[in-house]
Order: sequence, then structure tokens, then C-alpha cells
Amino acid sequence: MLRTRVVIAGLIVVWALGGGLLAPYDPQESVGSPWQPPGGGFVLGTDVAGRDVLSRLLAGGRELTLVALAGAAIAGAVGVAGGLAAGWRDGRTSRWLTATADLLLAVPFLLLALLLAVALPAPAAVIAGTVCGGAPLGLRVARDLVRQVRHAGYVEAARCRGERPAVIMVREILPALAGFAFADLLLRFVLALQLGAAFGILGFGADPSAPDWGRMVRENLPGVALNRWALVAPALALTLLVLAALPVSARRSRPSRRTPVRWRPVGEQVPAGERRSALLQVKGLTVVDANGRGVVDGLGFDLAPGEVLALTGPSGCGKTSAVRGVLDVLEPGLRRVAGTVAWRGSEVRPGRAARRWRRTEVGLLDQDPAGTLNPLMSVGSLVLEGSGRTAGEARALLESLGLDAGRIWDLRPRPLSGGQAQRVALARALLEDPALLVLDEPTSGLDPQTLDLVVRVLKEPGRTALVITHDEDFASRVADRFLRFAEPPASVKRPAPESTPAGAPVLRVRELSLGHGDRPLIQDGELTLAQGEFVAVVGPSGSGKSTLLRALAGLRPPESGRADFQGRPLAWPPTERDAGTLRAIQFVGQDPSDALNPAHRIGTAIARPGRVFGMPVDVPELLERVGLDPALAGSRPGELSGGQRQRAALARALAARPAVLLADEITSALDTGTAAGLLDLLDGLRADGLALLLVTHDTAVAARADRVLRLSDHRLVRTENDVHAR
Amino acid sequence: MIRSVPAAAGRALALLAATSLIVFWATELLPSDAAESKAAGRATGAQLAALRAELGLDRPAWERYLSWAGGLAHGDAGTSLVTGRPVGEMLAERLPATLTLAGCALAVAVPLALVLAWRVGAAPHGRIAALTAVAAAVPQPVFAAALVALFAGTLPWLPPVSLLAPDTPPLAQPELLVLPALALALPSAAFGAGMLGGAVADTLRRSYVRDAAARGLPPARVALRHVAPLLAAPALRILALLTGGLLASTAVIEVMFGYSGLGELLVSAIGTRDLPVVQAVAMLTAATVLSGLATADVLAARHREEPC
Repeated sequence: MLRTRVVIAGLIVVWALGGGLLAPYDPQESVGSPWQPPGGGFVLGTDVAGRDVLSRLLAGGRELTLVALAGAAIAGAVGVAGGLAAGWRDGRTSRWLTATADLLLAVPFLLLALLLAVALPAPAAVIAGTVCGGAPLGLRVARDLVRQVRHAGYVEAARCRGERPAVIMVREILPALAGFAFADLLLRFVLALQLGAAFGILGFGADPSAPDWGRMVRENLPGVALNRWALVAPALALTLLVLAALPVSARRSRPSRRTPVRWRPVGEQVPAGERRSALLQVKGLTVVDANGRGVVDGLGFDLAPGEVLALTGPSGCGKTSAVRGVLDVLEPGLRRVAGTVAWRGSEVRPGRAARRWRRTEVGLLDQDPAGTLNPLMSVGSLVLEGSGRTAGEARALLESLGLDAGRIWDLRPRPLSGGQAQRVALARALLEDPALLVLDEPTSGLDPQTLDLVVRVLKEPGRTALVITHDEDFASRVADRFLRFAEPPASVKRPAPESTPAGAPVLRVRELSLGHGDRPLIQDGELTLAQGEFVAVVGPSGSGKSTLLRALAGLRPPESGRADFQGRPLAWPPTERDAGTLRAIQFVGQDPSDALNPAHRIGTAIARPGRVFGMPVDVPELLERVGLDPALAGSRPGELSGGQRQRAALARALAARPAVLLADEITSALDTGTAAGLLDLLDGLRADGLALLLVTHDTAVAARADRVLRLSDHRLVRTENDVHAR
Repeated sequence: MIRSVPAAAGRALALLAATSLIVFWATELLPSDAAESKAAGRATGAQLAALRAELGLDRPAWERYLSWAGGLAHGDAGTSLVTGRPVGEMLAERLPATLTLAGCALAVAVPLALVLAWRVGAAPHGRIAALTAVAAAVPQPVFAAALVALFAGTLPWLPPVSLLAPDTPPLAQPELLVLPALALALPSAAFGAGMLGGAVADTLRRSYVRDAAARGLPPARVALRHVAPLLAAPALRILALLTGGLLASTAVIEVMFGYSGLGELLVSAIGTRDLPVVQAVAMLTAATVLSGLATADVLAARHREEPC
């Protein structure tokens, strides 16, 4: 489909460029009387001066197209180059470029081009006008894209490998921009065509008798009653040329490799005889994505009054889509293609009936409850919106959730703390005393106090609820029954965990201070990591755990202090470190979504350390070691789930055969089974001497470490949690 | 970001000053000047020099810029190099025609853009969005040609050109306005709808908007209470840009239809290198856009609650 469009677009451009060769008459010579209708050897009749319209039509696109191509190429190149310069580093250059772009954007580009036409010949004015009008738009978008990706995991990984900025720009950032740059080029082409057509109309050009589609439109306007083809044909030609550029820039969707998921009820089944009549009954619910692939396949379950049902399974398995399908609030792109939902025995049809049902019977607490509060509304109006309850009841509910209703009632959500905002959202979900409460991943979004409140609500007698969670422990605490994704978790080789005797110290950190001048994060941090040792760093969020790892990886220099690797001091930035040190210290970041460059295949990404450090890399073997199918080497990151990407990023780090692995919350995006597999894998590597420094907030992960350091009050403190001591 | 009226006005003035520099220096780059243009190749070198001195073209460029900019600040746009009449007078003559045309075009374009933007935002990959994108990309003259072919060729309802009778207000002959106004309005509406549609789609993706729908609030309430307040500022910014683009495109449309407004004046002034006229029309258009953008910035600051 896409290929056909590209071929058609190419043919149109070739015709515009070379059509003049096929012209039956000299396009500049009068061969008939003015505005003769089609016939008598003139397929499209004649124009204002009795010239053959067909010949002028065939010849009239050449200069226009050439000028537009040149304008688009220059404008696109200037825009992307400016965007790279403005986005790569904040500073004076960035500010000046942005200010210039803003100024140019504020002045209508046609006006600019007209001004330029005073001084320049028409083709040059069109090109300059396209650059002035188009490059600023491209610059702004490219700048924002570069700003987004310059701290992306894959760019930081390249910096940690000591790659030079120029290499990173060409290899990592430009490919990530390629899709944008191409779309940008097409839009600039359209802009240049619009300008060129306008200039033809205005009669700017060296030779007033030369064929030009724009000029043809203007010349033949008054003669429309005599030969309308003289007007319509050039207009159609212009439209075709514009359309040639447009459809290629249309959306391209990548097929995902997600397989349909079968849901099976697992857990305590109520004997058939005692079964109460179901409150909610779901049968054969099937949800597909935009490509028609199944996301949820034939899900069915019953929910009895007073029952709490937990939907559990690994992330990305379609739990949320299943529940959103039941509620008829699917994400854009997903569709419910089969299945029925019945409430108290009567069917709830999608659309208006489902909306009314949600409004009157369902209370929903989203995964990120604070985000569901409109920032422009006050707490009072937020809680009461669409509700029949009184302000007094709402205030009482807020008080019962531990909020000072009187103080926050007139506030907007922004000054509220995260926990307070979550409770406001919880109050809104509970205010109508909904017959069905739906909670989406309460353990990942809520702070501990709010989570306790949610547990209290779920334990209330007679409470009917659907709970989506990946946390099996939480599910078993609150749920009466489970629906679980039945496929076994991804298999990872499981070497028997053993505690390795600590070897010689590899990494030694002395009096390290991190922070921004007067805002210290870590002061005089002390840390020793021995060969084969596993040290976990825990602490509240924002305490500087991640910063510590990033500093050791070379991504930010410390304020003071030193760090030695195998007895030699570490240098900052990473380009100052020698290849051996760069190879031996590998960093895996927190966010799996940008850990891998979307433009590169998985295999390319994993092989990259080998190319940089000049060592062989066995990609299939590495993929297998982290529990991924070796066939994924040919996939791009967009086709992988978050957990798969995280494991691929780990494989890339392991490809360098590091002595020290710095891992930042690498299990937080994974479900319990996969996370345990990954930690087992790391245990196996420790037996070969890998030292592991892992930042985590998960106590279960920290419990596996040889030592746990707590970051609190800007200090790294030893804790009692010592595996060998227990 | 700009948060107060004086700051926004200051920024607009600074931008206007910068624009005046661009306008002045772009016209300074001319290979020939008005003296040559006026003499039309029939003058000797000495006569040209005398003509230049008479027109004040022999002074250094920065001096001419300062006197020009100073004059503009006092409302004096100088004298036409070609007709010798005050530029302000010439502009005043043409302004009503262009304002009427642009007003009619905006009256069509704004509601159409709002309706289209809503549809585009609700279904960014749908049929209406695709049609809007095509309509925004098709060159404006094509719209004019299609409208003329349809309403003046196939259906002989309207005149193909819009020659205004002198000393008659443009609204006295409304049939002359229909085609040029539509030719201006349709592509502008598509362009505006494309840009605003993106903002609508962004707003609809916000979690509190989706959550409002998930809670079962009626669609009209979601639109008015949760979506519309966030769109006021982008809509105003786009309106300012749309107005500017529309004023600039009057040049093309007025020339096509032979409608004697400001745009037509600009184009003929470019042809005769009548710099004061070119500069004055350009500054007038730029001032319109910049004041519109400044207004939008102030309103945006009032509505902004989230860090951006």
C-alpha cells in the first residue's frame, strides 16, 4: 500500500519535471484563437493568447517543482540542523535560534516571501520564503525531539560507552529524527508549492509568457465561460502535485507481536449450589487493536454482590484493556468486537447505556489518580462533579479519608501533595457509594497511606469490586477470587542462588558529594563494592539514589570526592575514561521505554558495545541468557513490551562483559515472576565475578543483596539487613 | 512565559521593531531603486542622481531607517515614490475594501475551523482529518479556480472577477465578495482546523478528560467543562496566525479577482519598487498578527495552571 503510493507520487513528480518533452505544440506560441474550447487538435482547447493548453500544462510544472524541491531540501536541512543545535544543549545558541524562529513564525510567510520578491528573482524568493516560513517550524519540532531524546536511555548508554558527541548525534539522534525529517521535508515541499503557485498568480517571474501552472490559473480566470479547461487543468495539476506529497506522510502503524491472551479463573470457586445471582456478568469479551490483533480474547467472568475480584497477570497482558472493555471506555485504537456485559441480569450495551451505567453504578480509580483531577477545578467541584450528593456529604467523606476538607475545599489540585490528590480522587470514586468499584493498579500509583485506605474500603462488608493488579501479594490480601493470566511466566535459566564470598574490591567511593551547589543530594558518600558482591541502595524517592549511579556511570560529575575503579581514579566525563574502564562499568537505567533507540534493531543495539570496544558479541546467546527469544534480534524496540525492552537493555550491558553493573530500578517495570528470573540471572553472573550495585525501592529485591545501604539525610548508611549475618 | 499585559505588549513591540528591521533591510537589498524605476531607463546618470537626492535615497541606510521608523511611530508612513502621494492616504483608500473582504472571510473561516477542529481532534486519523489536511495543503489559487469554474463557469451565478466600482463601499456589491471571500476562507479554515485539531486531540488525551468520560459524564459536559477551557488560548493564538495569513493571502486573491484592496496595492508596489508603500503594508499586517498573538499570550497566561 505504502509502496504503491510512493510509486504514484514519484510518477507525478517525474511527469511534472519531464512532461514538457511530450508537448504537442510549442507552449509559448499562439496556434489558435483565444479560449477555444477542446477540439480541433487541441485536447484541452486554447488559452488567453490562443496557445495550446495541453502543451502549457505539460511544460508548466517543471520550474515550479524544481524550485519547490530545492526550497524543501534547504528548509528541511536548515530546520533539522537548527533543531539539533538548539536542542542538544541549552544556552545562548539555543535561545537565539528559538527567538529567531519565533520571530519568523509570527510574520506570515507569504508576506515575507513577497518582501523578498522585491529584492530577489522569483525562484530565489520562493526558496528563501520556504526557508523563512518552513525552517522555523521544523526547528522547533526538531529541537523538542532532540531535547526529549538527549536524556533518553540509549543516548546515555552511548555516552557511558565514551562515544563522542558527534558520533552520538549521527548514530543515535539523527536516526531517531529520520521519520520526522522525512515528514518535515514533505510539508516544506507543499509549502514551497503553495508559494510558487502564489508567485505564478502574482506574475513574478522572468518571462511572462513561459508556461507556469499558477500563471495559467490567473490568465484564464476571466475566460472561464469560454474554455473552462484552461482554468481547471492547471488547478488540477497543482492539486495532484500537492497530493503526491501528502499521502506518504500519512500514519504508518507497526504490527505488534502481542499474542492473544486467554484468561482463566484461578482461585477459590464458589460451589454451584451456593452461587448467588451475579451482579456483573461478562461473556466472551474480545478486544482487538487497530490491526485487528486480539488484546483480550473471549474473557468471561461473574461477579457476585459483595465479592472482590482481582485480575492479575504480568504487565502488558491486557488486564486494563479487559476491564476498560467491560466499562466501554477503551483506549483509542482498541475495539470491543464481541462479548456481552450484563448488570443485574440485563445487558448493558456499549454507548449511551454503558455511559449511564458507569455514571450511576460504577466508581473508578485510575492508575494515576492525581492525573485524573482537572487542574482548573477546585477540590469541591471536582468531588461533587456529576454527583447528586451534597457538599456536606462530600466534606464528611474527605474528612473520613484523613483530609482537612475545610482547608482544601477551595484549592485547585496543584498545591495538593501527591497523596492528598490521590485521596481526593478516591473520595470522588466513593461519593456515590458505587455498586461496583474498579481499581486499576492501586499498588503502583498510590502512596502507602492511601493504599491502606483503599484496603480498608475493599474490606468493608458488602463491597463489590474489580481490582487490576500485577502484585499477587496485594491481590491475595484483598480479593475473594482471582482471574489470572494462565500462561506460565517467561522462563529464565535458574542457577541455584548462592552467596559468593566477596572478592577483592573493584569499586571504591570516597567522600563523594553530589548535588547542585547549595542543594546537596549526597554528602561524603562512602561505598565499597567487591568482586561478585551484590549491594543494594535503598531510600525515599528523590533522595539521590539514581543520581549516585549516574555519577558513577560518568553521566554527571560529582561536586567533590573521588571514586576508584580497580585502584585507578575514575574520570569525568566518560570520554576521559580509558576503554577498559568504560567497558568494565555498565549502567542500566530505570525507564525501559527509552532504553533502546527506536530506529535500531535489538540485535544492532546489543552488538554495539562489541563494535565500540572491539570484542566479539554473541547476540542470540545474550538474548537467551536474559530470557528473550533470539528471534527478537531482528525486531525494533517498538514491537517489544516494557519488560522485554528492559531485558534487552540488560543484554546490551552484559555484551560488554562488565566487571561492575550499575542497575537503576531494573525490576520496577517487571512483574514478579520476570523480576525474580532476572535477579536469578544476575546471581548467576555474580558467580563469575560480576559486582552488582542496584538501586531499588522494593524490599524483596533488597533482601537478596549481600549488603543494603540506605540513603537518608544526604548520607549513605549501612543497614542491619545483612544476608550473611542472618 | 509572558504573564502580564505590559510584558506581552513589550514583547509585541520588540517583535514589531525587529520586524521593521527585517522589512526595511529586505527592501534595501534591491538591485535597482525607485529612482531608476521612476525614470524607466530614460534618465542620464546626473538626472538619476538628482532624482535620488530629491527622493532622499542618497542618505545612508541607517539614517533612512531611523527617519522611516520614527515617522511610522508618529503615524506618518512617508510618501509614495511613484505617485508622490502620502502613503497613509493610499492605505486609507484601500483599507476598507480589504477589511470587508477579510472580515467576510473570517466570518466564514472561524466557525468552520472550530467545527472541523473538533472533528479532527476526535478522530485524528479519520476521513475528515485527511480531507482537512488535503484542503490545507492545496494552494489557495486552486480553491479560487475551482470556485470560479463552478460558480462562474458551470453555474453562471457570480462574476468571475470582482472589479469594484470606484467610490462605492464594497458591501454595496455583495455578489463581488462571495467568491474571493470563500477562496480565502476555505483553505484558511482547513489550515486553522489542522492546527487546532492537534490541540483538541492533545486535550482529549489528558487523563482527567478521559477519566471524566469514563465516569460517565455526558459528552456535552465533558466538552464544556474539561476540554474547552484549555483550548481558549491555543484557539486565540491560531486565530491570530490565521488572520495574519489571511491578510497576506489577500494579495494573491485580490490580484486574481482584480479586487482593488491593500493586497493588490502591495503587489503593484512590489512591481514598481515603491518601497514606502511595500513597507507600510507589510508593517500593518505584521502589527495585526503580533497584537493578536500578544492578546493570546495574555489570555493563555490567565488560563495556565499547569507548568509547561
